[in-house]
Amino acid sequence: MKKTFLYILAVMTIGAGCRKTYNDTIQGQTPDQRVSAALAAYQKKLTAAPYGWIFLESTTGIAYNQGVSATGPQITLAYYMQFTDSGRVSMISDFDPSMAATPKTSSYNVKELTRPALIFDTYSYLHVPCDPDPNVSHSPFGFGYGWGTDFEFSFSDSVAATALGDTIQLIGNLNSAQGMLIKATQAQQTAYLGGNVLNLFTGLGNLNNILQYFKRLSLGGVSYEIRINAINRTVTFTWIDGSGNIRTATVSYYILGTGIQFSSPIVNGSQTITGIDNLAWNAGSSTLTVSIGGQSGTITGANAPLAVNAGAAAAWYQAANANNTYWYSVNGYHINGVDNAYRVDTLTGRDTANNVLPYYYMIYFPNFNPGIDFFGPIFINNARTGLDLVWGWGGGFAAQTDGHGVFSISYTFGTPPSTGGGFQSAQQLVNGGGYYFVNTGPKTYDMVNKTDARIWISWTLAL
Amino acid sequence: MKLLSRILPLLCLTALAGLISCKKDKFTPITTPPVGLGGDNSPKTAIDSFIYDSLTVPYNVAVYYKWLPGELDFPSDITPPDEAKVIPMCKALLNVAYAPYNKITGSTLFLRKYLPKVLELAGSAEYLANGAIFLGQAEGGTAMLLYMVNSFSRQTADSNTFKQTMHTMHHEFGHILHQNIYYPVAYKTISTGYTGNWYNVPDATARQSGFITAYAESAPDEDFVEMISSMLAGGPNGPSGGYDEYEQLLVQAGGPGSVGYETIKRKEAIVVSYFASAWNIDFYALRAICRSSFVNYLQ
Repeated sequence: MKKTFLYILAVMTIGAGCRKTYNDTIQGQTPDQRVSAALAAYQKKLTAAPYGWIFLESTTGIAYNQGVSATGPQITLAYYMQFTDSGRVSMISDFDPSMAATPKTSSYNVKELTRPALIFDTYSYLHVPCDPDPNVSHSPFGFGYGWGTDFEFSFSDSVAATALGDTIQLIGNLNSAQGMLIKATQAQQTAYLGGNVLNLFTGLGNLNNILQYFKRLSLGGVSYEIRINAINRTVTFTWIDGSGNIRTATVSYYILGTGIQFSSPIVNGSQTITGIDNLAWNAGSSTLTVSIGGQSGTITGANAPLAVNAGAAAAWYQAANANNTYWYSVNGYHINGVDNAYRVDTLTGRDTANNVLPYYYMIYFPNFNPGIDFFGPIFINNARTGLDLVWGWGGGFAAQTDGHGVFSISYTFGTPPSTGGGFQSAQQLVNGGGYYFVNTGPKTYDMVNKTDARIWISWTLAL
Repeated sequence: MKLLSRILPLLCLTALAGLISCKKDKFTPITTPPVGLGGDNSPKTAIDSFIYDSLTVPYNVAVYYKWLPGELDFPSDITPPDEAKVIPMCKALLNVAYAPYNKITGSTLFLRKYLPKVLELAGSAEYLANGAIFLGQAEGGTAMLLYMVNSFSRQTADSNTFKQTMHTMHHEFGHILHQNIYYPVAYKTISTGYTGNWYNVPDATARQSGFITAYAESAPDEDFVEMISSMLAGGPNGPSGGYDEYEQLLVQAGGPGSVGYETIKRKEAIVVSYFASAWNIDFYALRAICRSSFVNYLQ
């Protein structure tokens, strides 16, 4: 039996040895030959675009460091890039006005990793949002995290390098940011190199020339309220649709040489808004003229919201009250175009040992004492290990049925000064017929004065 | 055994059959070397020439300043250096960290032999989950990693950043030295209380308990090289402060007679005798040259 088995084995072995079809190539090419041909093709693709490339990078809202993830806003960034044969790339970025007009040159490499990769291997504009130093990237993701952007990408199209068309898909190796290279046209190149991204930054900045909180875009007879969040790079549109319902949409924006683009269009019936261009400030009328898809529009200031959210004031109060926490504002009131108008950052308090304590932020604490809300500054304790309440005001809040809210002050905590930024803030709180509340994010509200929309304060929930 | 004697001829037969039948197989000759063999082949720039002439030829050191995937801790958010900072950083190393060793040993031979053969540069620091950051790393005497190249500056106003770079360099080279010849084990028993939570301890507090920096409190090896780097890289305080002169650190430790001062002094004595016996280097003379090189290099 054993012998038979051995004979079978021997025959099988011989049979296998005789198979002559073994080949380690595909179409006569070894793996190394195919890899180097593919890398050369990718390289040629990058350098063969006569007017360069537009590179769009969209994050997933997740960033990694040390293998640990952090979450934050999802953003889309736009770059203009020109690659040379000598391993150099020069680029323009819409991340910050300082990078919008002057190209910066650095190195790049196309090499073989687990997939063919495009690596921006020395520091460039692309690395700034990746930088783990929060003083460089200004990332809200936290210490050690950028914005979830990448600088090392894998080519992710499922076709051969030679078959790639005018767009190339990439995926970031650390944070999985989606990259897309789009071959630029001559007009786009001219716009980029002419510094038009910086012009658009300036145009967007002109929105701040409108001193009212509410900005009203009128386009083809339709009104939209628009709100820009320049940090998270989003724009929020609010409008009333054909059936009379309040509609709101928030989209990411990015700035191309040829205009500001939205990550997805705003659709209102037959009107579709994909971006904004040619923002021009008209000082005489204090308005901004814009073009949207070939149509001309005007942005003006408004004293009241297009549609008041009837539940907003009560929701604002309840968000802190229900969690037994408070709303805080670092800069206090914004008045007539001036941030931190009352310079609350200069406020000081004294502890029981008479040490001078520095300002931390302004807070509104519902039911700080049962039935009494607290409004005032909060200070850093002398040991710099925690926060101290030293002085402030006590009062109440009443949400009105039409959606605004009214404050009252009837007590004092400690000995609040009767002059200065803290005092002015308290007076402002009870001034002018109350406030509108605008929900700007999961934990943020803007509170806008009802009689003068040039006065507002931005609150963040302490959680 | 019996079974084996039967199998053996069979195996021989099989092998023979295999050879005969495979005679006509053609393996494609490799005309293309494996991709990436011998490192990246990116076009040479002025930076590459500078590195070759100033570091590779005299010291046999390769400098990796371009991002090499997987070379640094993965998956961490670290950025590569700005090209504009690479040559200034290398020049500072050559003038302020390497030159004193050359002067004291008489030639570049000492550094040529002991400098790690790979110097890796990163633009940012590496941020750890505990809130600390890596400024440098030494790996088994073969590679040295310097972070935060993008913050490098030789301006007097930024002297803290400069000193931090030199401190990192001397710290990592200290590791290389003791990885070659170990320091007297008696050093490890001078202090007790090494802790992984060193980052919660302010430097001034660490000094009072006999550690020259808070990081020295993390482990004896770190303690030893922090002593070396604090003595070699400390300098007059600029506007940005930090990495003060060694004498000032001793004052913070509590001055003569205090536990902190006396403990650090005992460590100093071992460092000095280690440099004399292991490397035949007069540590105080080396320190004097390091200081004057640093002061003269500031702009």
